[in-house]
Amino acid sequence: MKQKFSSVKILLLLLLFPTVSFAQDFLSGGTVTGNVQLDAQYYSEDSKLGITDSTLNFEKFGMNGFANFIYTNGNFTAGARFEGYLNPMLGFDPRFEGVGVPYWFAKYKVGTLEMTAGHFYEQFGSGLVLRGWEEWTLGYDNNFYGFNAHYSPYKGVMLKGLVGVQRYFWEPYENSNRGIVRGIDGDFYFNDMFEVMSESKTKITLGGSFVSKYEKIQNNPTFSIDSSYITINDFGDTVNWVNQKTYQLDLPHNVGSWAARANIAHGGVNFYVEYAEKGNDPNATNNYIYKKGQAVYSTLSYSRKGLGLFLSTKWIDNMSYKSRLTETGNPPMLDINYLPAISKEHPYSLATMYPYATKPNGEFGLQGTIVYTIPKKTKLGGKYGTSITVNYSLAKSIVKDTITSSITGDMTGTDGYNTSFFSIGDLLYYQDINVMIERKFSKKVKAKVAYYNQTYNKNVIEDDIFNDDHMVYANIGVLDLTYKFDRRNSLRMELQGLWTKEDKGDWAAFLLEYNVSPKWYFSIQDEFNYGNPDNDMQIHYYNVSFGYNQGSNRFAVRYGRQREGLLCVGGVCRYVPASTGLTLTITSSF
Amino acid sequence: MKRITYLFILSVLFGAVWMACDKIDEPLPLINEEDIPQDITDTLFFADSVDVMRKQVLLEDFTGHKCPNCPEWGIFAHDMAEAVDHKLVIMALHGAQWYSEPDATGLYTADLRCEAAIELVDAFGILGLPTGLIDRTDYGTQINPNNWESIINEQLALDPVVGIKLKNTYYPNLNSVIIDVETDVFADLPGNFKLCVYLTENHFVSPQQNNNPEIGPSPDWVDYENNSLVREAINTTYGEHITSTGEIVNGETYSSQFIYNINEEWVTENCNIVVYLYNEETWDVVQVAELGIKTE
Repeated sequence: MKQKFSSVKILLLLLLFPTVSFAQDFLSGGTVTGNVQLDAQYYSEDSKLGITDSTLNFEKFGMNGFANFIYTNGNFTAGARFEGYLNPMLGFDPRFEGVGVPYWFAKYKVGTLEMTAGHFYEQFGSGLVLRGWEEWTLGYDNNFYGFNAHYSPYKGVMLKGLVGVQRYFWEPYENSNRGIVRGIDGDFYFNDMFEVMSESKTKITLGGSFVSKYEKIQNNPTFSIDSSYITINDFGDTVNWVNQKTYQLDLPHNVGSWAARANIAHGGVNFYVEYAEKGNDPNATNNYIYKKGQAVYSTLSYSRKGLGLFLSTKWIDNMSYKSRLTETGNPPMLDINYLPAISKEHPYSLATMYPYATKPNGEFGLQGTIVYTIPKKTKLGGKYGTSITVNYSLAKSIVKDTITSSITGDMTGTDGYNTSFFSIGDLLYYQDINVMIERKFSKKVKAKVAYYNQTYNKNVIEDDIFNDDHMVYANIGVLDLTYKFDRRNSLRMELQGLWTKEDKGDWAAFLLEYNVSPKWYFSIQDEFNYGNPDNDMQIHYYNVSFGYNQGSNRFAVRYGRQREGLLCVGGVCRYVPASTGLTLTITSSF
Repeated sequence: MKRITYLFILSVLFGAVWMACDKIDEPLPLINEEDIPQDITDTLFFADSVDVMRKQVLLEDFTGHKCPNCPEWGIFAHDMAEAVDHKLVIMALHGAQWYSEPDATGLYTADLRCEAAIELVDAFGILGLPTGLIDRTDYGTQINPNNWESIINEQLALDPVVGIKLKNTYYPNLNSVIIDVETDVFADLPGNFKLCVYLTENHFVSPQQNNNPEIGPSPDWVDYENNSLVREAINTTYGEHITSTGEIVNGETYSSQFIYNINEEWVTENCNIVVYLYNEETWDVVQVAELGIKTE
């Protein structure tokens, strides 16, 4: 709480300081913007789902809320985010409970130098070695608290540097309770730097990053090896002895990483590749192995009218990089880097039942997407054209030949395993083949049809158990119809089906949504787990909701059941437990 | 020039960040190694030592439980040992015929004799009790108790010619003791010398005849407490040479070790080790040391 109060004081200083220290001119040109979101849930008991007051820990009400305020005046910007979790909603870590200001900053720009003090988000390249970001729905926030600088010393050159510590719930940074992150990054836009390339259609950008984490290491774990032997003592008697050797893990205080990247664009083609390495980083997520980390991420895209192609691949090995080595992955906190997900995020509820969560310590991934629009006014394309999207994504293990330490009995204290760069293992983590066809039949009728074929390794994705003992093979079909009665009134209907012989069996989903644009919407929805092998769990997850927009204010009310599952954004996931209740969401901006 | 400056700054930043990476070549260094007995009692021991650098005197008190005049002198010797800060070491030897032999019935059935005591009685021609040898002076001449005090004081006044460092390491689980003796020679000592190691026991209660009612019940002192009772010669009655020939050299130190399993009938807490060095030809005892076995 100490930090929360001090943060509030700083916020007040930021807002009030200009009024007492600077001339009236400073305020006169300023603008204040902001936005607020409040999510509140009232939980009720539900015998079908096994939810009682006791399982709810008697917390009948949960509320997550934030408010952003940003003051801008010329080259000066200051802002803060107020957050409150009273109590945290189900599925959010209870350590979020509290209110305060976990994010505030002041930023100014003079010439080509921009300095930020306070909290900030930053990203180097694609994030393989550093990315600070926040995702409200996940309860994910790894912002940096310190200093950040952006500087362009020369046309086409952008340098970044930062030093900071990361957010960990409400826990203030003190007594070296987590690591300090230092990093520099450079982007070099060749077409801007070199006159001869300024007119070239080929655009080349090179970049590089260096990041280091310092962490005070205390209480290094020790391991003992016992061996028995016998001696005969001076009296001629046998004495049994144990020879005990004690070893202690030598953990690095500083863990460095670097990345190099290139982006080449020509016409409609864009190619991006980034390679990253991390020094020895024994930590709780990799079972304290000393192998260096490696990652490569690449994308290739092509677009022209009516056609878009997107390919991406990644190979990552031992790249979990956190600013506290004892931190495990659930919930994901203190991540210094970000490993891009290359599976597609789907808009339909049953298609998101089996999402993919990135495995930072070993994964090969591949994704390809083709978007083709059959021209309008053709036989196949119809009057308004037809859009077809085909997507394939794959995640597999990498080859690992495990090394076992005779001291620790497992891989701890060794390089962990041997692997070859870009090796692909046999274990399938995830596969998703999907097709979506979108067509407007008339001014009133629009339809989307989608099919998904998903293979989901439940053990790997949910429990980090690396075998194929619990594979889920799911087929999902979606029909999405929209009928516009007039310019304001429309009705949308979703029909979904998920068929699988594994896990919880088959599902059917139905949604009816009536929109009175731009102010109102009303919907009813049901997800029915009719194929659950447990008859008692063949449950309807029904929901009724409505929303009202008033300018930039939005009110939404929903009552119903929430099914349990993983909620993933960008490969980072949060477990959402089953619940029943009334949900109110208010969003507003100014 | 401007570019060079930027490159320099960039290089410094690069170096500062990248060098901040600890390469661990030996992830699991050995920090401790120890040997631990599986059964701690196998190796549990108590050790004590005494370093005798002053002249100490040995009194071999020939006695017997049927010797009515003996308790008075036994007590006298014990008191004198305390008075001289235990520079007087006593060995109470039960070996004389009739005085020491146990009766078949009655009060005096206990056998306090030991083989070594009987041998020494024979060797020194002990007939009448009480009598004693003090450092075996004058070729082992018996000394009447009335003269013990003066002779003892004479012997105590001598300069030490030998030092004895005695260390007892007692293993309770085995009821055994390792006796380490270091003999330091301070003077030129002609002749051949032998080291004797004995075990004595204190506070052993047994009936004793007594004709002095002033010191205790008379004529039979049923709960008489025997002290310095010689139980056994650990390295034979006459001991062993500490060198191959028995000759010892001024300035040298000689080490000896003895391992002894203690009779379970004896109370170890009351037992002492007595070590003395004597001239094989003259019988002269040049130094003596005494140390308890279990002294904690």
